[in-house]
Amino acid sequence: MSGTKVSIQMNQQQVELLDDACARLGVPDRAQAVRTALREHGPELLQQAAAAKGGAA
Amino acid sequence: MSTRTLVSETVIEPGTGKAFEVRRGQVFKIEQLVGGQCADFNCFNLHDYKEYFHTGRTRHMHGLNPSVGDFLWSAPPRERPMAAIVADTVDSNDILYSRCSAFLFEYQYGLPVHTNCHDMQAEAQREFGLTPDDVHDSFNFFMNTGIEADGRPYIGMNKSKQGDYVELLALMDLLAVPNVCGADVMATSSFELKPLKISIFEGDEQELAAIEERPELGTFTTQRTPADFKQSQIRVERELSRDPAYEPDFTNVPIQITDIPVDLDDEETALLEDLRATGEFGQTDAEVLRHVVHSWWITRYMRGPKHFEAEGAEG
Repeated sequence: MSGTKVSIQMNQQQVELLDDACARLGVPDRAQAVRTALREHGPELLQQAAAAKGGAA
Repeated sequence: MSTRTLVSETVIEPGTGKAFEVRRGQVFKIEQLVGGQCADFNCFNLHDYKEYFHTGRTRHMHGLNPSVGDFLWSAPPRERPMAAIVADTVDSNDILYSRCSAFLFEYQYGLPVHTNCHDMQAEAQREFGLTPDDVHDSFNFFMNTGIEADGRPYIGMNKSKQGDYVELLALMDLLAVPNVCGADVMATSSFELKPLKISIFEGDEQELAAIEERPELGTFTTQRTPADFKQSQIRVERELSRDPAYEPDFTNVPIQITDIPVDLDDEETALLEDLRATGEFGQTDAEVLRHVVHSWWITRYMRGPKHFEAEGAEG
């Protein structure tokens, strides 16, 4: 995998939520949960940003 | 609703209010005798007056204009539904505005002696030993309010008509204190003070049981009582002084930061770059990715209103 390595900083409370996401998703590690979030939610955020920009124009 | 057994019926006249004991399961009805009258409302846990209705928590949970299906929440650290709105023939209520007060009428109108909700609440609650300091921000039934496009709140003419009413189902034993809002020189009650009828009915066990199935009526460890307080006694001295034995004990302190390395493939990297290029989600890849994670969790899993720009909708 070429791609990129990104290091997110989270405090212990945010990590607790991420661990909750791991449990809900049934994934073995936090990085996998982050990638799932990006794949699932990233396109939605892009659409929202585009819509907001379109609305403002 | 007409099959309920009437417990009491009282008319509160302009310039007045009245404190009522309402037991869990009973229904508290506020009715327009003439129409167009705002009813300010305070309520307290009858067995612990420090648990009282909180406009702030209720705004957070139900927005600025709650109606049927919404709860009246108590203040932190209790944070429990105190009553449920089970009927509302107008759907025009407010928890944005604070109660009117003597100061407002003096400062804004030059009227230093004037009917006002704070003083009416204080006088009504005095029957149960409460002080003017115990009056809290009110639930303003039948008050027509909103927010202008520029962010300023406004008060519109009252929409209620004769016979309109709201009904509250008590979810704990309450001291319920309505008053006839005294703001006759504002649009709140359409520039006229009118009486209101207060009725208390025995409740319907099935209705109460149905409400109690709502997730908000669950038991949560964070709904604390005086037994959980480090300082459990109510102060009687007005002068404040430092406790020399005080040791700070804040939750989850120290806040500890963890680095979470994430390897992204090409497709994910491109997606992240597109998100960063919008300028909406953070300046760095790490900030954007953290935004994605949290907004994703909110969207997918958060219970109740989301309070998140762009996500918008109630949960």
